[in-house]
Amino acid sequence: MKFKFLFSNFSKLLLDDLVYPVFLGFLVIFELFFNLLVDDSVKVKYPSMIILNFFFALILAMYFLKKDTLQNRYLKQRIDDYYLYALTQMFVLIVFNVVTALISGIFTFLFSTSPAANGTMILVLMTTSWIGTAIAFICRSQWTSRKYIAAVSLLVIVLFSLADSTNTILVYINWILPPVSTVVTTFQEHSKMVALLPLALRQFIYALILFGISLFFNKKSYAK
Amino acid sequence: MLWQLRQLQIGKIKMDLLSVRDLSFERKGYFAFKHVTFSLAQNQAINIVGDAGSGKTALLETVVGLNEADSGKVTTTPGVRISFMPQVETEVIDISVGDYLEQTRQIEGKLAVSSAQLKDMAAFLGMRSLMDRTVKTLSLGAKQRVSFLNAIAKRPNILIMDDPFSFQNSFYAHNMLEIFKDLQDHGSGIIMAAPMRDTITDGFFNTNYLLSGKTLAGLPVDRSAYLMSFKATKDSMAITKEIAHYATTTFNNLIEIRAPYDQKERILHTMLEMNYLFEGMVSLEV
Repeated sequence: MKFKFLFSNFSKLLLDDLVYPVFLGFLVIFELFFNLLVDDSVKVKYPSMIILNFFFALILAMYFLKKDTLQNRYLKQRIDDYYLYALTQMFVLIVFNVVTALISGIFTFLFSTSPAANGTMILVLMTTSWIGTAIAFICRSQWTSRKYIAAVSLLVIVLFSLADSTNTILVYINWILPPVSTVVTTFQEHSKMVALLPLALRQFIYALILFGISLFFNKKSYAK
Repeated sequence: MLWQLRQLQIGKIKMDLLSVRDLSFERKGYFAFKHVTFSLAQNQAINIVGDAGSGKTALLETVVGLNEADSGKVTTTPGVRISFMPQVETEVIDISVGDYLEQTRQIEGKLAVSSAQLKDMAAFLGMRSLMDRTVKTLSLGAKQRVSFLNAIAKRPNILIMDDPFSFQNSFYAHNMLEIFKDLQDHGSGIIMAAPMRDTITDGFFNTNYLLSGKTLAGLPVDRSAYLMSFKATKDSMAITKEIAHYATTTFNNLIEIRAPYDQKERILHTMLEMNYLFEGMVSLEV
């Protein structure tokens, strides 16, 4: 019952001001005009969609978490179950990310005859957006107790996610960085969707780890 | 030990529900409150009075765990259910009052009040005609009553309220007080914070505290007095010497009595027993 109640509450937070549907609409419109406005090359279009999905998920999660801090302060006291509360939040955003990845994936019009390639294309978009969401979760204390440190940390993590991890300095710590830029460079080098499958799995595991860290890291600031 | 258990069973010993020890909370370099210590037992009602900005809300929110205390400890007896009614609800609720109350009742599970009881209490607080209205469209007063019903739906052992009468008229405030009393009679403990001592709650609270200068202290005895008017009838008896001591004017069968705060109820009772008609009463600031 509590899960159902929380799921409905969190979904409403995202849909109330029509922020999610409006941004999703913009994303689709941008995809439709991409060939005309930017480039008709697959090597440009798909990596751009990966990065857009990443930022879409990051901004949506930040918007959600800020709204949650402002509106649900007393709800947290009523629910009085940190893990249920935080896990439901993650679940709701993961579901929304799946919808975003499916819709933006369809409107890339990059489908091929290979189901594996099509599946990988959607999976990469999905896992990239999970990483964006997980980064926002890690730094959620920017709306509570660590206003500046958390905000700066978020910028640094986003920077490292998108920095070229194959350069001479970052190559040594490549394994610890969010693999978003690796996905982009790998696709541009190989131009094959299926080549991204191991990276999609890596992104999935990376997102899980980030969610896990955020779950334990922010427990103390629950309801603050 | 056996004796204590027996006394607990027959209700002579009141079990401590909540204990606050040396609690301090700092916000942006300033102490909201410092070294606060008190405890709440079954059937006890505590009133915390303090000016706006004195730290009442911060204290209550720290007690319920919404703020992390800088020092001190809040301990509750295992298994107690705590309900907190905030001063202003921040949640935006776009479902009907009836659905919202039923939903929150179901969240609390088996220990919550029954659906029929909750509806009765809602009607008692004047919400019957508002049950189909969306919560976010209600007035502040009605929203506050919804928040109150939300808090009591849990059937709490400890009810903590932050200025629950701020948007209520005396009728609804009295009805809310009736519900407090009922909870208290059933063994719950109640903590309420308000900016001033309210005449509506006179005699309800066992313990009164003043939160001032960031610390909690016993509330000084109210020095305010009341001017009470009575009309003598043909059946009225001569007033006693003790009451004559407080009488200020007697004119045209009208007797005015300047009653100290703590004597007002007793004087009123005595005068009514002596067949005087009570005409009214005004508060005098001393």
